[in-house]
Amino acid sequence: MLRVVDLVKTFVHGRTRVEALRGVSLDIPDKEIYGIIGHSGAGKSTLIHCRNLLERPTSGSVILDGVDLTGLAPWELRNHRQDIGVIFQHFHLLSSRNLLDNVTFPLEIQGVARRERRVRAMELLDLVGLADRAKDYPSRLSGGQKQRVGIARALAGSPRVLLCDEATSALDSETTRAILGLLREVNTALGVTIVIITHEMSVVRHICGSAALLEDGLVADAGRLVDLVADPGSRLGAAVLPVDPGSVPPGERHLLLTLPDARAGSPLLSRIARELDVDLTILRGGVERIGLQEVGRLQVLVARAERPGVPAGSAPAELVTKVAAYLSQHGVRAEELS
Amino acid sequence: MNQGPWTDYLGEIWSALQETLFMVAFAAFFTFVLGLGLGIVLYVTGPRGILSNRVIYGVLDVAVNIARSLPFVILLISIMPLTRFLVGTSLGATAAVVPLTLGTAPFFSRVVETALREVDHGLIEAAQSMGATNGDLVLKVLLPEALPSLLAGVTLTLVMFVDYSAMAGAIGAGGLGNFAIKYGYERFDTDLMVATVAVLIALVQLLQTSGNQIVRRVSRRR
Repeated sequence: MLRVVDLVKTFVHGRTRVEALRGVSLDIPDKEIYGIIGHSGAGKSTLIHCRNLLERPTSGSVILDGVDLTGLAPWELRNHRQDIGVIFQHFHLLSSRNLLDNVTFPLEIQGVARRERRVRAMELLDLVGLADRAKDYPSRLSGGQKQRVGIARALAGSPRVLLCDEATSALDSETTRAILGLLREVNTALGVTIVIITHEMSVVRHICGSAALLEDGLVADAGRLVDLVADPGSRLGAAVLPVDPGSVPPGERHLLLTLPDARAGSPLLSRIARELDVDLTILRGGVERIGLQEVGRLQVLVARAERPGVPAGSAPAELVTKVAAYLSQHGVRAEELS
Repeated sequence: MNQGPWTDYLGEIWSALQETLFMVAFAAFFTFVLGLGLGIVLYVTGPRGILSNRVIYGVLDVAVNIARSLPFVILLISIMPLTRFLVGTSLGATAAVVPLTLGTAPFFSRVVETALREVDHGLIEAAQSMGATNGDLVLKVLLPEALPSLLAGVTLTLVMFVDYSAMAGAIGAGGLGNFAIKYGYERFDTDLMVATVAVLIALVQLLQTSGNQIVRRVSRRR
């Protein structure tokens, strides 16, 4: 568990004070893929610098598995650094070293024996699919390949947390997808907690299980993505799965449904139709893959079903309420549109 | 006072060349050791350095600037007592090593400082986040990453040495400069002067070309 507790960082440049972080708290469970999203200037870079303690926070603490990293002396901290691997937007590979020696670098400075670190590095290069390029120099690689080496290097010290600092922002969308796929693989295969700091909502949507929205040095919104998208008040949820309801013609009653698990949720619609005697017409919406789940968002027209002698018609308010209640009992969020 | 053809002096030119090479080699050794050390200190204590220290940097910065603004000929003469103290004499090629070193080490330290500054700061942060000590940063990150620019700077400095050693020759340090002045300038023997200058040109060309070659080879491997 990685905990960030009330982190504050204030920069003083002469007369001006910049409050980059104004009390950020986050709980990041083990093995989670956690996104931290924010516009530039929201405090992301400061957060990552404080997180890996290249900068001392003004106050607050970073606690990894019960060890308060902020309280450690520099030499103690150095030993804990291998618990957190970092990958960077601009890769930061050493141009003077070939790929193998780049991956062994963190082990070298931690004093691991040469033979051992080379074996480990080859395993990792193999994991990221670049074992055959071990003797090549970074300048001969594409951006995506460089980031793969970055990932291998970050994993060399068997970290418990992998920190990704805008790791895909310099890559095109296809390469981004491949790198995110690799990160997910690493997450499942090695059980490494992954923290992704990014300004790209698509990255969060694609890979994260949980996320936090950073704004003006504060956490504006945070939680599991499936919960966030189901919460109409959540700005992060709205950003992950944008709501764009169509207009409701007079006399019709529309519900906006959010299905955290589209596959399990969809049969509900036909069940409701049967049990409550309503017609549900899907007007618009779709299913999006969010993290590992299929999340659906649908705008449906609720109408009274045709019965012998009674033609179909507009649904009375209590029927709509009943449908909504039924749905939320089964984990589907429903709100009436007007 | 007419002499024979300049080919009669080949033996002397050869020994003058040897003296020049001797001066350059020794002075270069001391300059590179001193200048590298000083350059690293300038970089790490500098404004964005890993051990930024305004006082140390300020003092060194000014000292290096002062040393560099002294014309070499003035330095040559003004430090004669020091030279005598260090090597026992203020005359000859050995004595010239002292002013040559002091004249170029500050320059080379700037070359080193600049080369190190060119290393992407992100690399340093990356290494720090992996737990690199300051020693690791200098030895495993900064110097290897800056190697091509450092080597280019070494070439630049070596060529400067040839120039300065000729100047040192003028005040009795021996070498090609001394030879050119003694025979070519003072005795108006144009052929000899041209021959000496040709040797100097060849020497500079050789240093520059091989320096470029080495830089290219090192850069190609990365």
